[in-house]
Amino acid sequence: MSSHAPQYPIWLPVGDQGLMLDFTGFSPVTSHDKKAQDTTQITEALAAKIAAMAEALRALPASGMIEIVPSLTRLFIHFDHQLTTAEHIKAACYPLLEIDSRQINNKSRIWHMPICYEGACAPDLADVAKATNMSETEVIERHLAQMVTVAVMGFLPGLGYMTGVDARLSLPRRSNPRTHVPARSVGIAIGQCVIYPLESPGGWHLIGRTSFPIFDKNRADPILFRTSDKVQFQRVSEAEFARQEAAYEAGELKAEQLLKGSLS
Amino acid sequence: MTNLTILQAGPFSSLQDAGRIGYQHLGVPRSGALDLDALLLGNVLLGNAPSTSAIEICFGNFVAEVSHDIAVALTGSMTACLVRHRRSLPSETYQTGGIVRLEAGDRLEIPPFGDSLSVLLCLAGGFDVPYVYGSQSTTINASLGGFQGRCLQDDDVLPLCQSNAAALHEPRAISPEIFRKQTKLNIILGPQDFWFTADALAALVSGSYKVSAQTSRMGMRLIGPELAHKQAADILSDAMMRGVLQVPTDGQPIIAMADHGTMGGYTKIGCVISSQISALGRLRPHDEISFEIITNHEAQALARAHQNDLRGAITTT
Repeated sequence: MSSHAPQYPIWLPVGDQGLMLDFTGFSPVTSHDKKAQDTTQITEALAAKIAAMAEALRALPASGMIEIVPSLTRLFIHFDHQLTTAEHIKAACYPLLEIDSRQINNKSRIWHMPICYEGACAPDLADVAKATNMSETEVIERHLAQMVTVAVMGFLPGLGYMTGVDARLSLPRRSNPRTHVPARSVGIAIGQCVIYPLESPGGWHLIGRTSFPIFDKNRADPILFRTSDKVQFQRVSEAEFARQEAAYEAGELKAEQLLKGSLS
Repeated sequence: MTNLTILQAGPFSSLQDAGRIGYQHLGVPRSGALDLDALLLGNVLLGNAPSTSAIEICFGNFVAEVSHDIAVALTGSMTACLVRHRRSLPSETYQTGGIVRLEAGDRLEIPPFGDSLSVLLCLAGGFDVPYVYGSQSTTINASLGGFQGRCLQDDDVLPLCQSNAAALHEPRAISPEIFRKQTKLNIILGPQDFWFTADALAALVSGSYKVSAQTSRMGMRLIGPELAHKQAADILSDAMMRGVLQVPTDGQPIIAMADHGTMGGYTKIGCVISSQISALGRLRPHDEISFEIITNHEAQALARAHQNDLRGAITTT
C-alpha cells in the first residue's frame, strides 16, 4: 500500500445491500503491543481485530445483517434493506472500532502438511522460479522455510488464506484464472498461500499439492483449519505422496497425525 | 413413499432453494436458485413456504414421472412450457405461471426454451432431502446439499414431502411478464471503482458485453470493452456477493453468480442492484447486455418498485 493510504477505516458500497468497512493502511498496533512492528505482525493483528468485530456483530440480535464476513483488511456486511438501513449498520459498528482483538481466544494449532513439489502437482513451479529470478529448488526452500498462519477463512468450504509467506515469493495472481484447479493444490500469490479444498476455478500459482485433504465432507469435522492455526509444510517425494493419498483413501490417516509431525 | 422419477435430466438440472444463509464466513457458498424471484413466486402460487426447494432446469430437455397426484408450477421464463403426457389420453401443454395438477403416472416434459437460462419446477410440498447448513440447495463444485450433492441424472428417484393441498383451491396464476428478459442492468459503483482508469469507467457504460459460453453457476464471464486498471487487478481477498463485477488483469469482467466463492481477490468495479439479481440469473450465453450506473437512492426506489411488481405478479384467474 502507498504511504497515502488512509489512517482510519472508511465505508465502501457493495451494491445497495452491502457495506465494506475498509481498514487498508490502518494500524491496530497500540501502546501496549509496541513490539508488533513488522508487516506480518501488523497484518495479523489487524485481521484479528476485524474478526473480533465480526464476532461481536454476529452476537447482536435481529440486526437485519445476512452475512458478516471478515477478511485481512476489510469487514463486509450484507444486509436486508427491508429490515435495516446502511445507517443502522454503521451505527452498530462504531462502538466496536475500539474492540480488543484478544477477545478472540483461539487455540492455535500447528499442522504439519505433507506437500509434493514435483510433476503434475506443481504446474506453475517453473514459471514462479522464472518470475522471481530463483531456481526451482530455491523457491521450494523458501516456501518450506516459513511457518504460515491461517489469517482468514473463505472462498470455498475450509479454505484458509495463509499469511507469513517469504516476501520474495510474492507475485500477482495469474492474469487469466484457471477454470479447473485440482483439489489439494497449493497456490501462492500476493504474499499469501492457499490450499484448494476442492476442485475449483482459481488464479493462484500452483507450486505443489498436499496428500491430506483440508476438506472432506465425509469426515466428522469436514473442515481442518480454523482462523489463527499455523501450517508448516513438509516436503514429500512423488512416491511418498502417492502412498499417503492411498493411505488416506483407505482410512489409515487421521488429522491428529498432522498435529504430531510427519506422516512419513 | 411419494416421489419424482427423473427420466431425462437434461444438460444441467439441480435442486435449489433460497440458499444457505449465514455461513459465508466459514467459506461455505450460499448457492440457491439463479432466479430467486421465480422460486418465490412458484412456491407462493402452490402454497409452499417461500424458499421451498425446486428443480432448476437449465436449457430444458427434462422429463420426469410422478408417483402420485400432485400440483406443480413452472416459473422463470415467458416462453417455456410444461407438457403433460397422460396414459391413453392426449398430451396437454401448459404455459409458465399456472398451477398444473398431475395424476399418478403422468409424465411431465420441459422442452428446450429460448429466453431464460433456467426455469424452476416447483412441486407442492417440496423435496424430502437432507438440509446442509440449513438449505437443500446443491453446491455442485463442493458436492454439498441437493440430491447427493450433484446435478440430477437420468433414473434418479427424488423423495417428496406431503403437500399442503388446502392452499391450492384458489384459482391463481403468475403473469409471465414478470420473467421478461432484461439486457440493460443497473449497477452501483464500488467498492474498488477507484482502482480503474477514467476510460474504463466510461467503457463500462458505453459499450455492450456478450455473455461468454464459459459462464457457470459460479460466475458469468463477459466479453466486451476492456476495463483497464490504473496499476493492478489484485487486492487482498475480501468478501464476495452475488452480482459483484470482478475484473481480473485481462480487463474482462466476471459477475459473481449463485455458487460464487465466499471471497475473491480481483478488483470489484461495481455491483448489479439487488432488484435485478434474478433478471441477471436469466441471462444465457451469447446474450448482449449493457450497464447503467445509478445511485444508491435510485436503487432503493427500484427495489421498492420490484417488491410491488412481485406482489402484483400473482393474480386470481
